Amino acid sequence: MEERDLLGLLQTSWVTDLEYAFQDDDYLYLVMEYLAGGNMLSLLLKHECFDEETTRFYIAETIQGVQKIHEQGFVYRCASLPFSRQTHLLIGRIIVLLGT
Amino acid sequence: MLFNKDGHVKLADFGSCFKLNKEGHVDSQVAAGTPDYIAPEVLQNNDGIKGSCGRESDWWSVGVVLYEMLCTNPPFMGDTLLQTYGMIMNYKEKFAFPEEVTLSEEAKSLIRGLICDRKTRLTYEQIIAHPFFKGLDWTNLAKGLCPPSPFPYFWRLW
Repeated sequence: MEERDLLGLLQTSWVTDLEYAFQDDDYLYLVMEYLAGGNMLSLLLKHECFDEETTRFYIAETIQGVQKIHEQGFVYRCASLPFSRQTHLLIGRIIVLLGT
Repeated sequence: MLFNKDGHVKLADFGSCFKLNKEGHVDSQVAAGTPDYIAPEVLQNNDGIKGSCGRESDWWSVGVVLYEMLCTNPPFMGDTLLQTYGMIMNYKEKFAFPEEVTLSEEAKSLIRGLICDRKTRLTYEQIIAHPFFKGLDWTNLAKGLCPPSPFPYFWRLW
């Protein structure tokens, strides 16, 4: 539920937009915007590492995103910051995130 | 961490985010998050000590990501989860830059300012003023051009 609250609060270009949230007896469904650009892990695996100029850009955007979350009184909690090796969120447009 | 179609960064996956209390900390006995990126003070929360983590724990994680972007692998990566935890707790001895990678002094200094004791860790204001970001236009990042061809084919997601 924290996730839904936070996504609802955050109106920033650095964080995935929450389009809708709904629930049934078992699950909470969060419908996110579709991001066609891919994920950071795949990009890093492809390039092995980035040069400092590219890194500066990506890490600066990450820092801005984290700061926006902090401003709303939340911590990202180290969580799945960028290169989470778990399955990412993008499966079609509907993502089941929290089982109850 | 995902990209939009233009290649700008979008943070996603807030499954383990927590709301801060009035003192700006999270009180929790449960360590959450991808192990490689967890700050030592978050791991310590599980020792039965009434510990807490705050915003500074996220900046540690950003430091780990920065290291990974420049050096290919994250700085603390054991064969097992327990080993990784051990390396993070002993980061003062275990942390090192790989010899085969040449990094600028600015990059090293920023990483060291993030992967360090929480009391001396850089704050947001100090991070954005760091020499590594010299010349970067923070206010227009989202409008700026992205590095070339970030990841044009969405089907490569899988």
